Amino acid sequence: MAEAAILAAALDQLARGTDPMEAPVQILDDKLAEKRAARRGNRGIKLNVIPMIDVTFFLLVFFVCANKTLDREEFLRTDLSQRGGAVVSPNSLALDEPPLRIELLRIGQQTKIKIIAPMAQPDTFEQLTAIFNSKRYSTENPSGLFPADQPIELAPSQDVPWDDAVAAFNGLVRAGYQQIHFAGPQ
Amino acid sequence: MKSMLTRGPVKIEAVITPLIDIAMLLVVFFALVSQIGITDFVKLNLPKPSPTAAVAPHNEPRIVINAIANEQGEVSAWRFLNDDYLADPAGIQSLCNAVTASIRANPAAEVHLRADSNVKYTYISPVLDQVGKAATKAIPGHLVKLRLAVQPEHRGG
Repeated sequence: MAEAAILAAALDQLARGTDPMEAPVQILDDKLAEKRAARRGNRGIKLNVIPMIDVTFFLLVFFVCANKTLDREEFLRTDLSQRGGAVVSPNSLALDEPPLRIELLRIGQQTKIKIIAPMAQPDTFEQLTAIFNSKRYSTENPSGLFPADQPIELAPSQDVPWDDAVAAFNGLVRAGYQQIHFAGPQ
Repeated sequence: MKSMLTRGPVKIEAVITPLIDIAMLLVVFFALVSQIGITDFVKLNLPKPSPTAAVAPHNEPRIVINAIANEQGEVSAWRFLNDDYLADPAGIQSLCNAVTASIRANPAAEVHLRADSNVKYTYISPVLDQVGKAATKAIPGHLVKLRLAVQPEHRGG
């Protein structure tokens, strides 16, 4: 095939009146250069990305699992205001206002909520939230009794489960109060 | 045929350097993650208030105190930084000293209290009291950023 091309080129050169021996050499050189380039192309650098993808997916799966395992809990803040700590001082005179006391009593397998104030007594933590929300003073509720920073002392009795103490605390936070403290050891 | 002979035998080489790199990286990563898990997280059945007013954890430094309790809600010990402190007055005092040292070293740290939902309040109360005192003891006038760990119901578990 190459010989035919050389022959055709030589005939072409003869027809033009130039030296036919120069052209075949040129063509041969070109052909060899092409072959060399093709061979070089076959030896090109390849990037094998399959292990990289494997490892990337493995890490992705691991992070997803670890994230679900470690970070699936949330936190109730007890320093909602800078005015108080987690536990109210035994000397209540040190406070700006006397705290409103809510006791949690364990009767049988039930926890009873008792607000030490002349107001409606809730049966459930949902009712506790509703009552305290309705009593919170705000521009929308000018007839409310307590400001949002009213100190509230939550006093669970000794055998109340932590679940109920947290539920009461959570209910008061949801009602919009900012100074809820657990009572000290009784 | 000739070209095949001139090419010579084909050498198969396993490039193990990236493999070792990744293996070492994974070993270090797992070691760190497992250490964090051991230090901070004890498997507990946390309270699940619903609907909750709790917030997701931030990236702030934390001090985690875990209550180790039995099925009757009686705390046998408090775990803090891989050390167990007995749930008696002396143990709680030691816990308070350890928390004081941690707060002094890192005043911005939040104190996370993790206790099982059935733990009786009588065990929690002295710790709440002592943690508040520990903060004031560490830095006068300092208020502890106490966080109560809860499990949001919508995430299962």
